[in-house]
Amino acid sequence: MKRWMDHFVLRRWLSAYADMQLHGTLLERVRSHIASCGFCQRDLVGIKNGRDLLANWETVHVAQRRVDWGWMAAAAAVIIAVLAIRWSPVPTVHAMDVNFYAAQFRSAGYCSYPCTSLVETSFEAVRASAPLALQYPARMPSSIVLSRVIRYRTQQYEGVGLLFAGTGKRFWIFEQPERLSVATNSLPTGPILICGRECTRIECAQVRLLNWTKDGLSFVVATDLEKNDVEAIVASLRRLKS
Amino acid sequence: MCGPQVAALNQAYHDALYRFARLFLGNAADAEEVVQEIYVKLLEQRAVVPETVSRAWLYRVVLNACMDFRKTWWQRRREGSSALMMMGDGKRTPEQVVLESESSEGLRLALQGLPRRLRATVILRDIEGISYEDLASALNCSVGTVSSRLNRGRKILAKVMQR
Repeated sequence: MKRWMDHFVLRRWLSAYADMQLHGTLLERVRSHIASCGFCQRDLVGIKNGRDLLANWETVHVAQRRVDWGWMAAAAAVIIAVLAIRWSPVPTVHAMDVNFYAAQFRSAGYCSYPCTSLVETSFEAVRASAPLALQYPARMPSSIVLSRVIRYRTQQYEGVGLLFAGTGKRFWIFEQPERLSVATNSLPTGPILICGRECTRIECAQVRLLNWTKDGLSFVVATDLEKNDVEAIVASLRRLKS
Repeated sequence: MCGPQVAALNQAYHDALYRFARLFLGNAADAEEVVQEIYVKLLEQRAVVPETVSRAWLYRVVLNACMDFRKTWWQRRREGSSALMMMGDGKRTPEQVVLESESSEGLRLALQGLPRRLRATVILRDIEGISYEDLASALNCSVGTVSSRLNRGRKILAKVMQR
């Protein structure tokens, strides 16, 4: 009887459990209920399948017409704001939104504020005209290969993202100028040591995010690899020779 | 709100809001109209704006605008009596349409077939990556309700795409 009562109370939390959003007593209750409930085990598989379908889905790219008087007024306001910023003695703050990295991890391929453009490119092209002194991992777990390269821009800076993927695992490494910091959007953060480097761990749903600065660069890693694999890759980062 | 404030909102959030409206309504032209109407309302000070505008609040505004958009008699006529019927063409069942489509198109149709509250929750969480707390605030419900809506939405998507 108690098990059935639990079932009706706890089954609503299956998605939150799948997204690792539960903590403490509730997490333990849901975990132990799932272990003993066949219905919830089946439901959990369906929930994860549905979530993964969307996570791997290439979403629509934003391209649209913006023509009418309302937009003309808004455009004029933007121009005035930009000019005001240019002439203002107060320096503008530049920090990449953490959602940008999480969105790329989910194969979104679109910019989040304050990224102003994003282009797909090739490793050869980026190497030929590197916007910064890129570093490249000399070691990668077997069957994980470079599968995507992007260049993204803010108003002032440019960064490069390299996606290594294979066997259902992904390792994104984003490299950008040190002055372009990362805004954590009030997500919980904590220190973590990776190969002796003091990194910041950002608690983001569905993806492990790490950030550190070294050699004038700011690195952001978005991955679902285990920590020891991440350490091996980070330890093998070498300055790319042009 | 004054022009520069609306312009700053536009610069910061426009793409995300437009993308959400487009996925929710399933139509680029409708999404443009809805998002544009929101900016006009803000510019003409026809909306009650909180002191600090959060992303969650903006998503709620867009969702309400999408819901209102669907309430007009013309849109109801276009939409048909059932959301799932949108997936059929009168000769084929929605399931057949999904089977015959490419998986991406099938997924888009399956998403459009979800009841609108589930659709909004699933889009904001699984595509936009909004946190459970922000989702609860945007949808004006509890975190538990967010989780249970995600349960239903995700299971329906998985089931439709499996067929």
